[in-house]
Amino acid sequence: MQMELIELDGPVNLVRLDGRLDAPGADTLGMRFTAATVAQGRPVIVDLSGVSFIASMGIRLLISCAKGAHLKGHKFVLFGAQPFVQDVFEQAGLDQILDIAASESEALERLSA
Amino acid sequence: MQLRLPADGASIERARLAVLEHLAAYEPSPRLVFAVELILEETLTNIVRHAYRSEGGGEGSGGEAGHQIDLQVDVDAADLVLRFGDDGAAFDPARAPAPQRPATLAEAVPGGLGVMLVRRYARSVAYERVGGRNHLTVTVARA
Amino acid sequence: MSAIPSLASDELAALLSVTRRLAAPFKLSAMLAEVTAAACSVLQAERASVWLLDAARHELVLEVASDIRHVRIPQTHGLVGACVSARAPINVPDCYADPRFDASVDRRSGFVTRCSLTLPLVDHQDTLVGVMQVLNKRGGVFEDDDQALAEALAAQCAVALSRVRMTEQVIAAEAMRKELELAAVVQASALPQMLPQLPGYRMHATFRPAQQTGGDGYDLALVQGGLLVLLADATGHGIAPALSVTQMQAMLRMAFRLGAPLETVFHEVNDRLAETLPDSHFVTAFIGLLDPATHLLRFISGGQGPILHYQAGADAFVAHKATSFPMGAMPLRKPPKAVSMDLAAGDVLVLLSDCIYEYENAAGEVFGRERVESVVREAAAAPPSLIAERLLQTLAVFADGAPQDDDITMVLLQRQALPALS
Repeated sequence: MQMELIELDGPVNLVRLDGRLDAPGADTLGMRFTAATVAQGRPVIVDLSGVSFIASMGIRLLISCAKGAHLKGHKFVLFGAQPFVQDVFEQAGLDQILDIAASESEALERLSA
Repeated sequence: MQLRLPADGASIERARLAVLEHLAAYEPSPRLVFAVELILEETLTNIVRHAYRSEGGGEGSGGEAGHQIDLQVDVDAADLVLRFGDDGAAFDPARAPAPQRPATLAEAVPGGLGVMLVRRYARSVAYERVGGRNHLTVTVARA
Repeated sequence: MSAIPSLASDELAALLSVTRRLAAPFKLSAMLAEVTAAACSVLQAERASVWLLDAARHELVLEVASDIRHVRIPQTHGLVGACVSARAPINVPDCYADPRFDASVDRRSGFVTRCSLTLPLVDHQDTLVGVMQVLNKRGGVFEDDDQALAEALAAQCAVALSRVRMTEQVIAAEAMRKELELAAVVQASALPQMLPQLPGYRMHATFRPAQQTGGDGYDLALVQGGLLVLLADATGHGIAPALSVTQMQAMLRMAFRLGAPLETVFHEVNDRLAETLPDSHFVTAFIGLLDPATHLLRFISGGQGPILHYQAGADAFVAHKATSFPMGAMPLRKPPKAVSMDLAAGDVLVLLSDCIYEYENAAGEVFGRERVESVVREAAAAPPSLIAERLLQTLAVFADGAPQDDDITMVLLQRQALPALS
């Protein structure tokens, strides 16, 4: 599971994920992802286009960081989910509690909303 | 297809690859592949994590204690059936009573979300305990 | 151990006083503070420290020293390490001249060590539990007398250390036991004492808490909109989840009593729980509202499922899935959508707490949906209390003597069959 952190104007954090968000993937990602999305206190958009698989551990990580960002008062928006990953989000009802945008531009728009 | 694996973390990836290879011959839809991977991931993780916890070896140590998981995959025209068998968490009345698990009070139960996902992606989930073994049968629609 | 030469009365008093105080405290930090203070005063040292041996990690951990925080070093390091290996006191009049001395701790703290006296802490079972070190004897170096006194102090310290550690374990176990007892009381108190009477309907609820308390809860109550039906399950065991379910029950009753619509109630209660529940803790909950006049049950289920609706007419089940994510994770972004269920005469709503995957514990308390369905179908005409009993009996067969690891909660709602026309 790979992670890339890009700083955009704002400052806004763009986090790109690549790989499988299964239990080992979520484990590997853990602290770094939390640091980039929560600890820095910046609004963050997360590019999921490179994520081919997601399971409960990965979902847990996303929720945990979303909650952390929420408590800190900054936005956390996911975008670019592949169809099956988006399907998991909908099956689990995550679209009701997480900010999921269709594209990077939409995600950025959500930040200023 | 039948597999017997040690109940440890490494087996999850092994099982995934073996099942996908077996499945390839049936030209599964991408959706079916995803569903199968999800079910394998959640079920095996759960077995490895929980089934042997009370033995005090910590999570995922089932392999060291010699526990095995049986996995059988059957495919027909309509369904794909995954059968999991394990000898986890056998209650031994001779052993010490209430296991001391202070950590679990604060621990969130990982099982919940995973169970929910499996139920969503499977047509049916059936559990049975026979002769000291847990048997879980998950049926996934091929269409 | 060297014999203690004639002690000055004030030295003895100091030592006895320390002994008394060491016998009393059961908190590790307090105890260590006592020891180091005593060592300094009795031995006229500028500084004293106690290092605890972390055998698992092969490290020595410095717990108390006024201006250095928690330090860890390999157990072979420095004079303290040499003392661990030798299991004997080491008296060094000039530390910087001794090759074993590790100056890094000094550098971190700014203290300059001149002379030191390092002693092993060995308890009654002859286990080495740590090392005590006193530094910089005022006006000189540590002599044999000092060593003797220090050894006496070290012996007390070692025993106290062992006792404190054992006590802490006992206290932790005791605390946990109390917490679970309390959780059980909370759970029991939150449940409805009597089931409501609703013409045309029969209902039943079974609550079997596990040995170690889980976080289940249910409710059946007549409110403004009709009959409230709740089945909830909080993640985890102990007081926290039990409380969160109790809080939820209270909030639901309040909101429905005020006549708030189902969607609003779910939304509000979810958001309140999200504020207080710790990370990764949720509550799965089926919240339904039955209108007894129209026999329409509207519900929203946060992660609770399957929701079984036995239809008497078709002699078949409709299984509903959860409509929403479990409650309390995050505030909702949009209003939840309710699902409707038409209860015809003879229909039964079956809500069961989710135990299907409980591999933690042997067998038992797990349901296969097909088995549940066949039991219900067979007993559908009987009062729900009997259906519940049959379900429990089926369970017992699977349980095979194995203890239950999680709460079993069942809520059954049956619309009575219309009487046959004569």
